[in-house]
Amino acid sequence: MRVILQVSFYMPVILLLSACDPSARQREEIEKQAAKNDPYALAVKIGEYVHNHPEEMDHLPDYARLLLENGYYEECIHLCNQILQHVPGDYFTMHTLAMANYQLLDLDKSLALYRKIMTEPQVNPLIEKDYRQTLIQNELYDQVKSLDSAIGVTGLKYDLVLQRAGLFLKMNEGKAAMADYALYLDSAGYDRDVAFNRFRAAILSTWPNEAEKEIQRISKQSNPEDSLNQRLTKILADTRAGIAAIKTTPESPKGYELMAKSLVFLKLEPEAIPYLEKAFTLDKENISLRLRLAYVYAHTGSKDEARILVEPLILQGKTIPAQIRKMLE
Amino acid sequence: MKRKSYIFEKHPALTLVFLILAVSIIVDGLLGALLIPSDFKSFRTRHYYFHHGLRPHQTSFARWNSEVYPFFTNSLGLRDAAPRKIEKSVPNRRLLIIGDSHTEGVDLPFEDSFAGILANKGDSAGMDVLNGAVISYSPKIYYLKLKYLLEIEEIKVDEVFCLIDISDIQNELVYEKFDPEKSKIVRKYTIPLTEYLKRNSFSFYAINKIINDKGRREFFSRIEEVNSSENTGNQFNTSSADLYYSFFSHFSDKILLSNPRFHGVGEWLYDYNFRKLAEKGILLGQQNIKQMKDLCDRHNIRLTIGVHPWYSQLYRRNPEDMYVTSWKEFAVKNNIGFINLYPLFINKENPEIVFKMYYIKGDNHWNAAGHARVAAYLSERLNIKNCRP
Repeated sequence: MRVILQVSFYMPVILLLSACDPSARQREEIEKQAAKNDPYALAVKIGEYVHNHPEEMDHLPDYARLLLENGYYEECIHLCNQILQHVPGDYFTMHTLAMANYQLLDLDKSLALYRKIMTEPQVNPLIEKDYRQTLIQNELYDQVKSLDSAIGVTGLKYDLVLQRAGLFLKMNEGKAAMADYALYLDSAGYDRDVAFNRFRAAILSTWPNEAEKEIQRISKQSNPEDSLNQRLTKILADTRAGIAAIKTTPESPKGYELMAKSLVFLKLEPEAIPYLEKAFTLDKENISLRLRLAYVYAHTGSKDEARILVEPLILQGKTIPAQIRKMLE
Repeated sequence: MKRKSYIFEKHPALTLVFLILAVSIIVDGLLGALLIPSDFKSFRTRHYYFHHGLRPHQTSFARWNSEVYPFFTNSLGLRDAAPRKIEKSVPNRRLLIIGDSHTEGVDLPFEDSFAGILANKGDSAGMDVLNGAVISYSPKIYYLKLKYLLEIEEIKVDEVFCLIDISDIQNELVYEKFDPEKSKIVRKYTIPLTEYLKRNSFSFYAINKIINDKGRREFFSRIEEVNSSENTGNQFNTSSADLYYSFFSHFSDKILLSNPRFHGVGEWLYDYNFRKLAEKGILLGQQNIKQMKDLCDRHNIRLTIGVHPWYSQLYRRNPEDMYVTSWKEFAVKNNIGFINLYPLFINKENPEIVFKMYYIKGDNHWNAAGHARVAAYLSERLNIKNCRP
């Protein structure tokens, strides 16, 4: 009885204190912003939280990941460095930091972090995959830097600029690719393939107005009945619908599916993966989405991930498209 | 025996009024301390002579983008590594850097800004580097602030480096009618008082907020239109737009303010409809820099000016465009040093990669890597080495 009385005496005080806990309140606000799909507001809330509670390390690694996922790479790097000063062996944060450096093309730093993580006896396969991707990106970026030097020596030679644009497209640097393709088209003259590639880069960068300009450029130079124009117009419409759906209903898989569809049509399968993954996390029961993601995984060489997705369907006796089965054999 | 009557009994109405007033002031102050939110710009202030600046001896925090960063000012109200007293003259060579938000070093601790890097380098080389820059300054304010520092504060300076920004062509139009001499004495005392009340009186803060909120909302909606255009690289965020708005408070040209393209100043030089306005802004700027040069000559100070590109210029890949040429010719004609920072960012590299690596995301201001690049170049050009007398 006495214990119950003591508990009931202290309970209102405890409740009052937790209600007044500004750190908990700020964390709630961060969660709300994360759900709202407003990256800037989210980054501001995280910035305020870090400023007000610099010693509360528990939630910071997750917030650093949120900054990364929302494109706030520099802020993510600052936060990761702050966390690693307190917890130097936090491999989750080191992975976040490596990915943020990757995004800002600071690939030496990114690789150094991955090498440190790789010394661990057991490494998450996802981290290994990101490490391999960083090595590929680094190789491509070295080629870009060689071309930069060549351009520096010889002046702006358009074939070099075109080569560089192709590398940027492979690196998923859509805007950079667009800038170099534009320079080529404006200076060296019209080329159907270059205009098509600039269209691909514009879709990759979710820059539909620029994609539309390329359709107009191609239309002017070719027969209006050209099937390429019609296909590109359809892809552009899907992309616009996808962008709008992601903005207005971020909790629905629809927009992500449309974006992925456009990218797969344009043979940009690796870039479609994040969209399909997001769509799949929002609708795990959707068999068609599961198969599309499995196809893209298999197509880009991630056969293990593709098998994980397909196996439950095989166990349920569902038919797997021959194309996917063949790729997984 | 006659009882001594107190002043309160003699003047009951006056006493009551006094009491109510005293209680109101105390309650207002207490509410202010509790309810006026920290806005990360309390160290900023209007100024009777040079329009706006920073309060001296501040240890504070600022926010430009999403992150909060430390902000200190010295005894002159100049951004510094820590609060410190600035002597009127020093035995070493002294360089005063002046400019706008780029030179203030928004979004970064002082040590990571180019002025901070140069100040640090100057320390070990026996050179005193001061940073007189504040956001939304332009040639007219550079001139007025320099005049204030040299002639009112009587600071001795050997060299001035003024980094001119693209936004100056717009700011010059906004400040065209600003007259520091107009009711100078009154404003010298009323501005600090109103700034104090804004920070400490809840009722003053609340009324001010209501008055400003409507205009601010309209202003933000226009900025949103500029944001939505794809090709400017000009994305205001809430905190920077708030500051941007406050500097237009006395600009009366409603037609220009209503035009979204007026707020995309990076594109003015390439927009037929704004080209004339851009040329006027450049002309006004050059008139004020000429006054600055005359002031520097009177004080035996060497003046160097510099220009640097925004996203709109990176994208067009011309390291010596009409804007650069105009300032270069002006500098040569008036015997002013000239530093063109365009080639640092417009070169063999892809402009989008440069923008990604050296600029704040979606913003025309440099990030830490951009500032480091500028500092490395300027330390050579401004000869910040072996300066000990």
